[in-house]
Amino acid sequence: MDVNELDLECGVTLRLQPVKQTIALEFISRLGGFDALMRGDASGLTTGAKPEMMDGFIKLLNYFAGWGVSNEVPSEAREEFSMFGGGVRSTRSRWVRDIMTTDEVSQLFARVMALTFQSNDSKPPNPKSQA
Amino acid sequence: MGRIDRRLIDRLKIKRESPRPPTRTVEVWGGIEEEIPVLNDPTYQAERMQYHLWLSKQQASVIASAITILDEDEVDWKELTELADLGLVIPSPGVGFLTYLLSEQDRANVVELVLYQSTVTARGIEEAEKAYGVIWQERPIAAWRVPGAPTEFSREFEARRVARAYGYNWPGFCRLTGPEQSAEVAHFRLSNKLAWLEADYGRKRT
Repeated sequence: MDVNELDLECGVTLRLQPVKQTIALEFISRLGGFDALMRGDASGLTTGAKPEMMDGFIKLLNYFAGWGVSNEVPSEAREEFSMFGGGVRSTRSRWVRDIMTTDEVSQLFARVMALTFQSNDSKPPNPKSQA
Repeated sequence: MGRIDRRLIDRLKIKRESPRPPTRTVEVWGGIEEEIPVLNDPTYQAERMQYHLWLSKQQASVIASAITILDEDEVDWKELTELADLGLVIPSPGVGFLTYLLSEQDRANVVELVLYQSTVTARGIEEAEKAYGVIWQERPIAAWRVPGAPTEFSREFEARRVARAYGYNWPGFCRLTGPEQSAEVAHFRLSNKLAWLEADYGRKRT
């Protein structure tokens, strides 16, 4: 299994990539931190979730689906989603969410999180830069 | 890449205290109890994350004023619009560029360079120490260890102390470039060290 690829039930294979750690952390922070993310079921669709937490999950999912996936959106889907406006990544996010099952959403979360927080690009800045 | 007034950097550090972890009491030895921090407490972890995000945004807003983007056409400003649509608050294009468009490594490099040009830094001190070339008994003086005083102070306190000792007023010291400030601090540190080594040498000879 290639950690950079996710095979969907609909037959599409998503190519995954790391996202920016700062942005992911900002959304994770809004939903109450890593612990809340782990407790809350990555899909964020569990019953009883607080509205702000749901909102946080949805924003994080939109970010992972639009920025953590590198596939080009098929032209027919691009036309379909063009009515919503937005750029390339927002359109990709809508398309990816449209073709995924709930289980696959959880997998997308887990894989993009792993890629993001294990990549070299996500190392924090050197705190010793100031004397 | 320009520089900023170091007082903006100093002010960043006193605006908000970093969160402290909760503690729990444990028996260590012979019935003695000790409070130890619970670093993996979820609430503390969440507060810590929020604090660091806040600090990084504050830092970006300060640093952004020192940056001029020469090739504006090379920047994907559309991505910034998309991120704003996603719900991120982007106070200005400069802050957005620094916070959300640069890679972590590039951002760290930018922050490091602006700090180097604006205030006292480890790099600035190291460069000055090398340039002074002070040797004590065939070893660079920086390599010698001398007993320290049982005191702790902030970088700002040390810089203000150096400024007073060398005849600057504080705004005047802050107008110096980062490497110039670092050179004065390095000079102060090396001079104190040299004075101690010379006094110790004299004591041993008598």
